[in-house]
Amino acid sequence: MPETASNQKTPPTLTPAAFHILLALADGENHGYAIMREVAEHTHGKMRLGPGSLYGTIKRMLADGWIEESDERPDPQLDDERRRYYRLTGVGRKLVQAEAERLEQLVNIARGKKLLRNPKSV
Amino acid sequence: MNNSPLANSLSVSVQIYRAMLVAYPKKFREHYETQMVQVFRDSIREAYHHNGIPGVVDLWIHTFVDLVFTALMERIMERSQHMFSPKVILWGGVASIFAGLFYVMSGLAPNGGSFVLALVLSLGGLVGPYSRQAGQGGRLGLAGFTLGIIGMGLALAFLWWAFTSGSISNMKTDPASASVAPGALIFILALVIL
Repeated sequence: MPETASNQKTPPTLTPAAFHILLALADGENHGYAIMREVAEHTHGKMRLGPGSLYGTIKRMLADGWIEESDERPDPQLDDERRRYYRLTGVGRKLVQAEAERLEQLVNIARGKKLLRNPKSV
Repeated sequence: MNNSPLANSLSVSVQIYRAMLVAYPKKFREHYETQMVQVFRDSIREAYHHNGIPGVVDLWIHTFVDLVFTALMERIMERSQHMFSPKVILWGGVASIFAGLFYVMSGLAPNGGSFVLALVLSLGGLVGPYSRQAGQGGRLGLAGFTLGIIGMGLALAFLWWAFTSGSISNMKTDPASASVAPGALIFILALVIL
């Protein structure tokens, strides 16, 4: 039985790649290449997921029940119908929210210690 | 992409990348090969349109490093998953049986070799319950684990019976039978687990 986030007592630690993929899917379903581009945009090109990292992480997140494959296929006129689309599950959304809140707390601590150069931009 | 020499060379790049995917485990390729090739194709087009040949070279370097590391990781993960298969649980049970036999042998004809072998096989036998605990054993593993629990109960009952019937106290005065007793217990337990 694959261990899903719902049956774990402590929240799993998200790898940076997994967090960014979940973040990219927060607005709705997307395909692999679009996820890759969005991650690169979010990180200003600092995180470049190769196809292996992307699909390796997607494979593990599917197994853990954080994301799921969408049954809907794009209109062949608009996009390649062979593309697979992925979307967040309820567990995945809770995880990304929890991680974002954790990061927010850390940023607030850093702000309190005046470690941020431009606190308003955060 | 049109049929220009450049388009053809990009197409060759995609073909080379597809061939390199053989580095991944077969199961992974079956699921993701098409998607990965598609992502690489989109990436190489974009890299060329934005940065020309240097962009393509940069993409190739990045993709090659990514492929080497992730293919290695997938192979290691596949192997570790295979380790916890029901077959391993079954072989863990076999190891436990032989461990019990060697314990008995070491008790009947004391020598270091049998005892060490029995110890090693006992440790091998622990893989079964561990695999079950790791949640990777499947139905066969679950059955083996359940039988193991029942077997443990039987072994404890046997121990209780031996204690109440005075066999244990006799063992204190007879070292040989004291060595045989744990072996017999393990042997019975292993049979039940299997």
